[in-house]
Amino acid sequence: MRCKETKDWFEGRGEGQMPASVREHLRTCVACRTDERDWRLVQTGFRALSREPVPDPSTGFLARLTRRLAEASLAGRAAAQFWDLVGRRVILVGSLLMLTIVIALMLPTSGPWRSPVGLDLSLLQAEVAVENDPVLPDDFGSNQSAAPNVQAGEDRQRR
Amino acid sequence: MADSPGDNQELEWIKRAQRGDADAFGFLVERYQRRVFSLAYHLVNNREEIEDLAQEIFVKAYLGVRGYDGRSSFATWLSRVAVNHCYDYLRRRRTSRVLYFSQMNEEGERALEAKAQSPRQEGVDVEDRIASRDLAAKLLGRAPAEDRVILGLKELEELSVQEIAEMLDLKESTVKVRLHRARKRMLEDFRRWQRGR
Repeated sequence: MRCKETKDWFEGRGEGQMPASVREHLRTCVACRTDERDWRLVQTGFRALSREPVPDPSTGFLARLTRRLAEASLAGRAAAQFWDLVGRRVILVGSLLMLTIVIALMLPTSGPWRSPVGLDLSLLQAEVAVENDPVLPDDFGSNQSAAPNVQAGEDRQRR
Repeated sequence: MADSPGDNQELEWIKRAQRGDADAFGFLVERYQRRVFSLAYHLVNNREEIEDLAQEIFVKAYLGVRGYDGRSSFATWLSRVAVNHCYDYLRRRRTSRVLYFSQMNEEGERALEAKAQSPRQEGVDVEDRIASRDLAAKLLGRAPAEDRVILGLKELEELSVQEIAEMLDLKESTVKVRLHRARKRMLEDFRRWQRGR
């Protein structure tokens, strides 16, 4: 048997009767003998600790505990009622919010606050350009429509 | 679980406690208080705080008794609550490692030193036992919370691997591995201390 196996036996499975192979190894290996002595020392300490009398509950322990349990019970009930109330309100508000969103999504896609379907953006641009372009005396009369004015404005920008 | 009259009575108390009856839970406290005290004392090893700890454990158990489904015995379930509470307590309380050995009294230290240097003897006298007890207490005090819990259950509560596995809801192989590691770390710590002196 090697040192590692002996160590494993002491540290991990050192319960019950010591195997003959471990005993044999201990006779020849000083290092393992030291380990065995250390572990034996620690185990003796554990045994001494385990034999110490456990303190008894003091008089009145049960009465004090019962009082504490009653308090905990009341506190628990109050907390449960609080969360019950809060939970109900959260569910109500959430439902209302969901309903509002559903109604908003179901509305028709036209209306005063929506863009009309098929809006021609080029026409809109032309209208804006006409508003921004002052009408010159030369152009007046020959150009009555909005489109030539747009053309004139573009020409001026190019120049 | 067996169907003895005592067990039926216990089942009745548990059901009443699950409905919020603190008096019924009081009967369970009476039945198991020594067990909880023993666990708390062996895992925490602090006489001053043991009663507070036991109270906290029972309050926690009372608030969580609705979650007890009868898959394990009530004693096992309650022990699990106690072990978890002690583990949390140890983790919160863990202090510097250096402090513990400085607290070892001189007499105990001298006896231990003599014991460690003496050749192996079969018998252990009272003085040696006190020194060893002091050493084990200090080593446990220095150990990480998880090592302390598993070694406390095995070496001080003297539970079998199977009982520990059931209590902690772990596989037996996992308990064996954790025990192995805890013992190894403890011996390493002991040697480090011996080398450092």
